[in-house]
Amino acid sequence: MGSVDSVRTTTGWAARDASGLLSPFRFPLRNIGVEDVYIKVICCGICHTDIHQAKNDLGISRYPMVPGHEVVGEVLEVGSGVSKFKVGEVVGVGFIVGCCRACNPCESDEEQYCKKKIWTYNDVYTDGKPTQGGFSAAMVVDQKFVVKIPDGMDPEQAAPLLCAGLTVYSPLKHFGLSRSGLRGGILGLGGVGHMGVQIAKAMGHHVTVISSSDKKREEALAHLGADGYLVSSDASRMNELAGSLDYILDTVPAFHPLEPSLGLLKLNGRLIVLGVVNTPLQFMSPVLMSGRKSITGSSIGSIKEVEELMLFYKEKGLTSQIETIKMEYVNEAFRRLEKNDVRYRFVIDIAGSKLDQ
Amino acid sequence: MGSVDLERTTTGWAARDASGLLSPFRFPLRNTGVEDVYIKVMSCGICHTDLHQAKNDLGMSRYPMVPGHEVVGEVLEVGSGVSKFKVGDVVGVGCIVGCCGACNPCESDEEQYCKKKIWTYNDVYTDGKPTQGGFSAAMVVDQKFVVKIPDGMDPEQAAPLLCAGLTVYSPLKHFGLSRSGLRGGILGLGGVGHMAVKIAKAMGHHVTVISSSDKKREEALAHLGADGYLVSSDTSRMNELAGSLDYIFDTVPAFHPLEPCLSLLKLNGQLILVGVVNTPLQFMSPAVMSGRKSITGSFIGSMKEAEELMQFCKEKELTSQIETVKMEYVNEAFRRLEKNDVRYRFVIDVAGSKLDQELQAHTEIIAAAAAGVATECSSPRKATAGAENVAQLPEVLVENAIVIVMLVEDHLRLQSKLHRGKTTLTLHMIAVARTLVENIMLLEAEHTFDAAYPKPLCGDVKHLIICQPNKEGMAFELANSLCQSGAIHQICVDSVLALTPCAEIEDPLLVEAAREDPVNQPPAWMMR
Repeated sequence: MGSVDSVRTTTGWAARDASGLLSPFRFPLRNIGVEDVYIKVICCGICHTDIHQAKNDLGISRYPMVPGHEVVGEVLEVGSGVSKFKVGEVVGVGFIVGCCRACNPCESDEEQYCKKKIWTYNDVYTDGKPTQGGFSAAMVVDQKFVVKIPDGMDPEQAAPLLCAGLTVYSPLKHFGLSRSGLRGGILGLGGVGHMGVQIAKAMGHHVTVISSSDKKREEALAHLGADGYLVSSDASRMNELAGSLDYILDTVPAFHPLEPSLGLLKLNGRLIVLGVVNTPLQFMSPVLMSGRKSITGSSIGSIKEVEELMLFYKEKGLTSQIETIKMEYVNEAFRRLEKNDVRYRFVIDIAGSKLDQ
Repeated sequence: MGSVDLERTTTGWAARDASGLLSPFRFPLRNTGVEDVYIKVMSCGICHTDLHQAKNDLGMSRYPMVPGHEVVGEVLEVGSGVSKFKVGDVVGVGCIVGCCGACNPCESDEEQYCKKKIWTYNDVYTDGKPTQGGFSAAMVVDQKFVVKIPDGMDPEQAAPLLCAGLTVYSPLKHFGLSRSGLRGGILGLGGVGHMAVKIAKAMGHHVTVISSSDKKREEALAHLGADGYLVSSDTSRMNELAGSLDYIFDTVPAFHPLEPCLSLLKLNGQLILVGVVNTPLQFMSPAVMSGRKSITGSFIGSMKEAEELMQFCKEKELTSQIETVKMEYVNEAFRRLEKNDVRYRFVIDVAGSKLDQELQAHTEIIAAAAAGVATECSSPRKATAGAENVAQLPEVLVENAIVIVMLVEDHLRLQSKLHRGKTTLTLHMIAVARTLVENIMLLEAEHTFDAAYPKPLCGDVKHLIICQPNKEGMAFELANSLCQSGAIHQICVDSVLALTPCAEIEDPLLVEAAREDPVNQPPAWMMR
């Protein structure tokens, strides 16, 4: 794999412990293997999961940890087995960088469900080294997990699609909910929720944003283009809309009652849970049975789906609402993201930041 | 709808209150409308829901209620608009007898999800009358909700398919899980669970029965033909089988953790809930997200699916494991069903049961007794808490009797356990006695008289003189005066205990009870 002398290193910003505070960290990158792509990172989106991982909320964190799995960069070098990409191309890397390639999920283009998948960061690669994410100057990634960003697409626009966008697109596609004319609900208006509104509108759905308060009404309707806004405590309006939605995308990453959502679903409707919630969620079985409703979950999406999503975005001329920041601002961004104080995704301009500061 | 004279009646066994005890009940059936089918019931399955409804567990029961929604019978008459069925056909009726016909579910052959559906019993029909179920001699049902039983299929075998079988078949069909080669899990081995094993095996699935204990292993494997048996607390085996099932059919009607099931499901696997659980069920979102698994619920099935299922079962020669009982056994069957003590479905042989039996016997006794006392005026007497006559009866008779009617000196005494029908019997006796004498007085001390109640039994009670004493001593005063007038021919006292002054009741338990609620306490001899 190359001698110690020729090991490349790069600089990223890593969390050292469960405080989650990030600071510069130099670490080695593997030499480029036959299937590898060496990428100079241009920008990287910040996902709520980055915070969970940095702060060991899931109990599985290993430090030092460089987060970041919405990575867009420029190809610097490719291994001899790589034909899909060439130097200078703009590409993206998402949340996984390895899979077993032999199980059912892998063989049916559902590698995000492979039991042996390797996460882009906070995991261990096949060479035994820890994986580090896109809050860094460069990465080496197997070509299977690299996706081409369409020409002309702004890298900062592309970044959130690799996780947030995909998280919305994949289940809508998989469950046959991507045809136009459907009525969807979006619960939660964070990074994933805002993508939900964008993508569902682009698919030709009637979109209702569901929230626990009235605070985001104007944003949802005027800025994001949602068709409706529903406050879950507004009992009469909730009753009016009972049984009116084909699906609800639930992005809320904390405990919340499911009954209101289930009440809004039509016969055969689906509640798609996308938020990682660490306490048990609850429901009453008669509520599901009386309308043959389903509660299901989805985890991001496949490489194939992210490629489709990129083209879909390009074709529909969609843009996400993002706030671009420099790396030095990342701890403040984490703090604000925890309070959901962002419209709607932070994207770190890595190439324009001083990482070694 | 026909005048009162032409109204058909039939006999069913109804629950009168939340005790859930069933007893004979005569009620009217509507005349056969244009779309109606008049059915003589042959057999009816007993579903756990019948128990819930009879006991008002769901808080929406109206009494008297004749349960039963797995009904198989023979067509006696069809309305002029009915071409699907003819007299003599063997047909089935399930859980629903009406729907709106105009909503999305109705129009897409999913009428079981119609918001205005009418349940086979404990509901109100379009004519405003209560619907009564298949624990009865006959039914009149709209043809849309009647399904033909394939020729040659045993009616008792067909009955459980109408609810339990359909409950299994519908979601497997709907969710694309009916093709062969799948691996299914069945949680719970009651009526629906056993049906699930049978149907899944017939569909060509590998079937694993999942249970909380080892008790049903042999049954599941040797008798029901399951391929595997898994105890949910067997951690290592559960781990081995993680991610191995395409679906799990969960029939458990009580709270239980969902995590074990979710872990057994493959990628995209489905957990299908069919058991009504009255407390919230739980799951961790990562458990459904990490394998794109679904938790869904299903509720019986459509008429279209019921027809398909009948053909499927005929073709695969599927038989259920049932225990056939007579109607007289139904209360015992309910008791056993509550403890899940049945392999695996009770089916009542309605046609082979004497539904009216109790009433006929009562009528004979009453007529004989009424004739004996009709010409005399009973003077009110104080009751004693003990009953010497009863002490002489064999214990088995006392324990198992519905109501014991004794001719004691110059009056009839009725004694029984709670809710066995003393009041009902008394009202019937009055009805018979009125054919012999004119003025009958009912001393109604329990204050539960409902004029509508006896109507189907014995016509209206307009001529009944009803006194509801509400002060100590008032009953005797009233009865005395009326008797001395010579105008009263018979007095009925309901009940003696309610009239007995507390001071005279010896048993302290009875006193306590009488103070709180004199209506529902048994006489002293019942307390042993």
